[in-house]
Amino acid sequence: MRKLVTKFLILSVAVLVSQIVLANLWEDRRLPMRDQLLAEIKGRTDLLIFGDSVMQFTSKSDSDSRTLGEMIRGELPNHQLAIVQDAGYAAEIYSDILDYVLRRGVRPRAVILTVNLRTFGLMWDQRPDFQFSSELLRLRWGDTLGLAADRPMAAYQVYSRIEGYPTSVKEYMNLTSYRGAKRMGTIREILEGQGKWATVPWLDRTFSLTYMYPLEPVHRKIQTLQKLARTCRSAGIPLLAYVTPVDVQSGEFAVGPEFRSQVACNIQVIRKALADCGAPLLDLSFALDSDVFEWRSYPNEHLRDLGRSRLAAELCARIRAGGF
Amino acid sequence: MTFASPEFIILFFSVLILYYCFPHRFRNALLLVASAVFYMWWRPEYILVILFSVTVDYFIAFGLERTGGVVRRRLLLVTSLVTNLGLLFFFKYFEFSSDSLRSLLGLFHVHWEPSIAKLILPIGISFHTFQALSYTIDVYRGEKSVERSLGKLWLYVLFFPQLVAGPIERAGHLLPQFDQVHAPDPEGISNGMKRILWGLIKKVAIADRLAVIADAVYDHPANASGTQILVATYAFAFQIYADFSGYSDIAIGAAQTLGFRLRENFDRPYFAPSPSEFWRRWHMSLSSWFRDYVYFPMGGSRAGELRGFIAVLITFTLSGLWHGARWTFVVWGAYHGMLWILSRAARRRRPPELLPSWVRATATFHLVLVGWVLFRASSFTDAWYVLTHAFSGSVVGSGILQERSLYKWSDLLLSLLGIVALLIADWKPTVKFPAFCRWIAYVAGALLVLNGRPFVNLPFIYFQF
Repeated sequence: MRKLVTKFLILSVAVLVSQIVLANLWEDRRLPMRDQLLAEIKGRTDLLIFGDSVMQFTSKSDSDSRTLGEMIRGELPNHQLAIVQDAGYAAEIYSDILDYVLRRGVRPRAVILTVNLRTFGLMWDQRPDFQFSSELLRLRWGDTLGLAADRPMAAYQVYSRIEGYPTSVKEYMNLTSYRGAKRMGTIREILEGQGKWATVPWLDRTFSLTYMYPLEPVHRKIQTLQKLARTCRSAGIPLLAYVTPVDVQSGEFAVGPEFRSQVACNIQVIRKALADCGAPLLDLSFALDSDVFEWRSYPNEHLRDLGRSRLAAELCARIRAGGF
Repeated sequence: MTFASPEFIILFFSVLILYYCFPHRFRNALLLVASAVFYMWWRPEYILVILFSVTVDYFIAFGLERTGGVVRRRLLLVTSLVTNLGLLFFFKYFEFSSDSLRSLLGLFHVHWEPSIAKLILPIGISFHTFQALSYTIDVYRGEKSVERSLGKLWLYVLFFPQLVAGPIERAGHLLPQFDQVHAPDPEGISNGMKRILWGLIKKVAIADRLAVIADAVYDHPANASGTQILVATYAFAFQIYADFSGYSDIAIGAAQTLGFRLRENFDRPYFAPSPSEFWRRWHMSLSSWFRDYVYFPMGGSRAGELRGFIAVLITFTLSGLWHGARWTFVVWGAYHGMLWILSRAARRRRPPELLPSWVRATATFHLVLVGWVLFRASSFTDAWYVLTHAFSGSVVGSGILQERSLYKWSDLLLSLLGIVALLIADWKPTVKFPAFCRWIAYVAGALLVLNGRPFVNLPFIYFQF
């Protein structure tokens, strides 16, 4: 029996070593999010800015084609900025990137953190391609082990089992959205129910899906925001968190007056959670009018050039006022 | 819980270690708990269905032992049949029957709209129902003595390696093994592990890869070209074989590591030289169940040629229905019944030995392949489309199929390699390679299992039955 156990252990080690060697030879070692950041943080870094698609969005109808990030760079010419931004980025990415740069000895003077209210809802939080599990694994475990473990973990749905998000797009599309006790429909029903024109009932359902959830302090993204705030505090780095503007006027038109109160309620939960970790929250949720939002297939926070320049000006004013 | 999942690996190794650490008197309890965990992982409440039916069978078996009268014994047997098949009907066939009745009434312009709650099918219900039934029938026939321990009878049906997709065991074969003391046997454990590894390779690296090709076409057959339909149909033939025989390999291997012997379920079916031989090699535990409990009671081959053929047709049609609550399965079963009858009739007129065995095997495989179209297609319309367009000669499909991986050469090549490996393993199953080569094969196999799975969650095909 001992011989069998020894053989089994030798085989296990052989498999493990082969997996590490082959994965590191075979898999793509590039990690654009990290590689781009590493290029930006060479030398001095004053501000580390975490953003999502709002940060990099431009509209075809814009006369000023600069992104929000570029506008902030333009307003703060003396600051060395490093911007981490992409569609679907959320608290987990920001937190792990911060840990990663701190481990590399990079210490920005301040961290600017985007809090998009949409990230907490079903549509974003549960979306399989917005989990960035492979990227997070490599940031946490490093390339050698991360590359070896990533493919088996993804193929056997280990990530989704641990984090509890759907294992497939089909499963995701079948998640049901509720407003209170009222069933608003599955994600598929809501997203595919638009028809040719956006009707008020359809807008009601999409705005509900996007914003009308009751946010709880135990939400995994709130907990991650708190972790990020604690990391900043323990590293002595000031954190400026701000809530991305929301198209409140359209929301009230579609849902009614309770739209504004639910959004305010959710922001209060985030404010309290961050305050517990010593971080202030700048609430810009109601700062912009409906006409500066880019309307595409469903309600979103993407801004036209006017909206972007107003937001950039507001943020830069706060950054200057904070002395970052 | 499915075999190709991290949680099963954890459960299996925990049970393996604890099983040999525990004294014999606690081992069955351990297996029962592990089997319950295995089943309840999916939907905990459905274990009550199994426990209920087995408990009923437990008491009926006692009744059969104590009752001498033919009528009362038959009544007890009928009670067991009604309980087990009633549950199966309720969960699996109720909706199908109502829909069929509604369509039938519709032909006579009678409008009937049944209000049926959509039931979730308990996983593996067809398997454990048949296994439980075989116990009562064997006791009724006097071929098996009554099992005194209810826990052991539960374990006979719930035993996790074979619970959800067989092999369908017989009480006379499996129950006595729960009384045997299994000392750790390094060779048995080693062989069991190898069999599990081979089963996982079949499922993960061959079947799941082929599934991507087959599903792409069979989900949207009207978008597929003739070439794509042909490729997908061949892919499905090997997918279902790799999937189901892979499951059986893991089941048999897992039981073997614990010292149990399960029945073999496959014996190189695609090398079968005739349709009747195919059914002696494919899903052997189900074929023999239908033979012993359906075909023989109807008289079998001794009842005369015509009655024998009718019995064959009924048996195969029921076997088709066993697979799923859909008319395509029923017709698939009947098709195989007809093949069986025709091959028997042809053999009498012209001895098949005149043809080389590879010609007969190839012909049989292609007859089986036509049956797989019915088995895989979602409807008769789809099946007809596939059968009539397979040789249309068109190469490029439309819509989504242009984007799918059907024409990625790397995927096709990997799938082809999988099929070749499957056939070679069937063709020369006993070739002994040097130790060094075997070790390389084990490491490569484990790496395939870790990395070869496509990024989609595909349950074992036979789970749905």
